[in-house]
Amino acid sequence: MMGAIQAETLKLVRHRAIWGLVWIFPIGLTLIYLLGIVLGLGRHGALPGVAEPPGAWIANSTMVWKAAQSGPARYLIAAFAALAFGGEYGWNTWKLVVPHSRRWVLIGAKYAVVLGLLLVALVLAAVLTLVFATLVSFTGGEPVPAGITPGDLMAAHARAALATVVSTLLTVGYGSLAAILLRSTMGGAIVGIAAVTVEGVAGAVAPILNPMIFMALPTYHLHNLTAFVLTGAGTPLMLRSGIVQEGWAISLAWIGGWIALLTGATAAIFERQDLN
Amino acid sequence: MSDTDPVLELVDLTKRFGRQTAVQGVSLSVGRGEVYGFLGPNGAGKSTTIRMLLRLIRPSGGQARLWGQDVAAHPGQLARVGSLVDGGTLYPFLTARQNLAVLGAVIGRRDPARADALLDQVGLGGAMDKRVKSFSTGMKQRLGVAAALLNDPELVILDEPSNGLDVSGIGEMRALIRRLARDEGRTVFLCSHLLHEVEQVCDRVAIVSKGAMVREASMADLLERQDGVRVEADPPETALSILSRRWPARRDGAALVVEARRADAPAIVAALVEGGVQVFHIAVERRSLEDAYLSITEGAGA
Repeated sequence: MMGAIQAETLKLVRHRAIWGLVWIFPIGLTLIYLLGIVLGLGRHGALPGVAEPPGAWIANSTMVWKAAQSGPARYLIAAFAALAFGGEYGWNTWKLVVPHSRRWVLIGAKYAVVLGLLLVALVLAAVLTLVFATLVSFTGGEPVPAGITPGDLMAAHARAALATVVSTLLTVGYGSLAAILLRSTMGGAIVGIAAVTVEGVAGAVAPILNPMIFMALPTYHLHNLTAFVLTGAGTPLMLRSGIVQEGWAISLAWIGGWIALLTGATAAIFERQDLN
Repeated sequence: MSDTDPVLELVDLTKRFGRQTAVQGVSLSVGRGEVYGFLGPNGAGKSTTIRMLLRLIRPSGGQARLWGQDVAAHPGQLARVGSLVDGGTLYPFLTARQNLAVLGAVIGRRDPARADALLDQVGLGGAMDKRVKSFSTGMKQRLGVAAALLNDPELVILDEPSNGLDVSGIGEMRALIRRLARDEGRTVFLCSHLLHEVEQVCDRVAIVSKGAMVREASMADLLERQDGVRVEADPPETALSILSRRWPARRDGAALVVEARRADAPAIVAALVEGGVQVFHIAVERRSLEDAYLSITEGAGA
């Protein structure tokens, strides 16, 4: 497995699409903060910003994790998964590696590397957030409030990262299954993005949907689980049948089931697939 | 496992795609150190057979065995196999070196020195750090061969290794195949449509047509069976009558062509002399693998 992970890393980090799909997170954040710093320098001499309460400042510093759970970020993640899983068909390279490894190992390595690279990018972006927030405070922007402890900061980021990992796994599952089924990067990306969109739209039209069908979708459970991870409390939902609120264990089971279904189906389909 | 046991065995290997049968009951065996040619017209099922052997596609029936073990149950045996399929399938955005590094990681054998030596050996020493997308077809083919040899395989499976190579490249490939078998003791399973190449390097050949095996023979036997004996005798009608009793024979202008082996030449002369026919000239006409291949595949209705 380690060899397959190493091989997957070697190839994905050298594909130029990784800049637009993965490294975009720290790069984009850097550009936004640099712009902020420049603008801050531009209003040098103006009244200094007012410090936020420590809790709000910490919550703001985890914005990059929350951003990664947003629709556009999940589109990028779905496209990256489609590239990792569907690229081998376009490059015709399954024939190079499949004879030398068990198929489930190759698929497992792809999941590990896709998730690993995304996490590296997001951790980097989170670290940059803290660095730039501190720099901004020196350029006349919002000052860093007193009383922030490293422990509070780490705990907040760990919770936000956990919630992001869950939504990322679900998104990677959409992209991977679509890419393996369609044997195409482009097809995988389009269907993966469509799945993320449908998931979001389903949330918006939840009150008019059949409650049983809606509750079987990952939409509510992802929101509910994220709310539990971030705030310790779930989130209620208005359905046609009334207001519902599930416990974290139920939502975790549903989301875990969806992730297992998507990744398991990807591995099972690939295991039986003829590579002509 | 003794040295005489087959390295590769296909037993009644079959593949159906829906209602269409691509490979029908192919059985063959390849011994250690042999160079085995696998021939057939386009669409005959050669590549499908190789892909079943490499576990790229699942057989509908039969078995592919490596060193006596069913590949489906013991896929680890493929670690002893190197393969070139589809003209070297490689990552276009990586350099030649990086491609071998990726494959080396998958096979658990990251050895940059060996990778560089192989690239030198296949003539890509000067292009190691160029991206594969800038390579010509022939260069990709050479890199594919290097990739096939990276795990120091005991069995090398080459599917059309000379595709895209120029004349000198084809010669180099032929020399490489010879070296792999004769000098390094590897077994080579060669699928090629270049019959001249096959004739020069293979010990045995199998010919497939429409998914089924139509002939398996040693190269010497195959070519000898195709020998013809040209006879000039007088009177020719009497000579034809005498010879036709024992061999297929026909008139070819003033001469007769007898479908017989070189070893039959003395018996031909003796039969004619005993029959009172004067023999003026006799010559064994050696035919090429191409003649044999065409007569076999045309006979099979390919």
